[in-house]
Amino acid sequence: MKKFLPGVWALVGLLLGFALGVGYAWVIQPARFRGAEPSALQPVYRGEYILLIASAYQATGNLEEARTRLALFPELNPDALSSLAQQVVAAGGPADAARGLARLSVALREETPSPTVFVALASPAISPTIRLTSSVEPTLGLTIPFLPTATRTPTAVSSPTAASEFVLVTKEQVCNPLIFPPLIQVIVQTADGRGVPDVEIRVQWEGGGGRFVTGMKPELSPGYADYAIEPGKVYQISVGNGLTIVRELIAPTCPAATPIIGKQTPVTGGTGGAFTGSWRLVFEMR
Amino acid sequence: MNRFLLLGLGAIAGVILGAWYGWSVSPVTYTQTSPDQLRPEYRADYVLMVAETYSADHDLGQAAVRLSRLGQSDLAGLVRQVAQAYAVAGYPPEDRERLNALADDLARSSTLPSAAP
Repeated sequence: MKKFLPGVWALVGLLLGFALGVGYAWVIQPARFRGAEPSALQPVYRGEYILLIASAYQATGNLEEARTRLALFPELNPDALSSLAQQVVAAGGPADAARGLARLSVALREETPSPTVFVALASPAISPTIRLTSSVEPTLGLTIPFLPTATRTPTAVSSPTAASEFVLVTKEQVCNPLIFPPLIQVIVQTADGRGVPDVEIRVQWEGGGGRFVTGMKPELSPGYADYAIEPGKVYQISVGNGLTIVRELIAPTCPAATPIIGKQTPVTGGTGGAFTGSWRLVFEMR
Repeated sequence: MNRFLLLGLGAIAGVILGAWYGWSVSPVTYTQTSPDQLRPEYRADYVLMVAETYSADHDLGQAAVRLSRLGQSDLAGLVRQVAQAYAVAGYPPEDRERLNALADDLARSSTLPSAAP
């Protein structure tokens, strides 16, 4: 019979004992539960908690307190807050929470300027729509209680073909201070109002360009897409096969926002409380 | 005999190391929790956030629903407990005022929604 070295017996005992010790500490007698962190809440409660932070900030205007509370959710950077505010607005959620989220986004952005949006604009290959969709929502991992995604009725969607034509049916300014940064919002739909995903939109400005695609924010509409724009720049977009072009798109200047609870501040800079608005373009696929 | 001694000593050391690892280095973590399982300081801050929001929207039903997530049936008592704890801890008076106002309104109300399951 082969003889083991004495050290091998000690090592075997150590490994067996270690397994027993870990099992005891994890299963039989785990460390005393002192309570959960807010980040460990179920997604639906985490969503409620975050909206409560925003509502409380909207009520008190206490940025320091809100920042301390938000620190419990490291994934909530200004971009994520802005995206969340838009989701709350789009879903018809509590207005005070949406305003609080948007104000928090702006306040935090002003304190720690985040160049990500403008980096994306300077890099034509990167689409802000894709960046937000892929980076914000999965990492947030929360469920906003009133978002209708769970009960949304499935609808048939149309797909664009090479022969599809796109006609601009609506072009309007959007003066909603909750939308930050300013966007070119594009909705592509059929004649009966169904959103059309996978429509490529090219955007160009002096010295640059990029592309984005509808359907990356299905919670808003399958035919929805947006692109963050910079004030003062002139943009041109073309839809689908490139035959439909909209020129001279400049982020509009909107009048001061109407105070709701008496504490609302302009979301972006400007004179006399004016802020930079967005564009909303609706195309019909034929 | 010697080998069994070594095995036993190794096992004792291993158990100690394993327990230390399981309790201190990589303790059990809890996920998918509900608000009633929050740590006391976060429960108190949750109550304060509800009071702050209530001070602006005066929606007592919404405040009661939010507080009911903490799993306590006496909502006014819960808010008063937090107000007292904040008074002892020397928190700003406006926090205590908001908490007391909410507690008073909850106590006055006789038609509160039932606690969430």
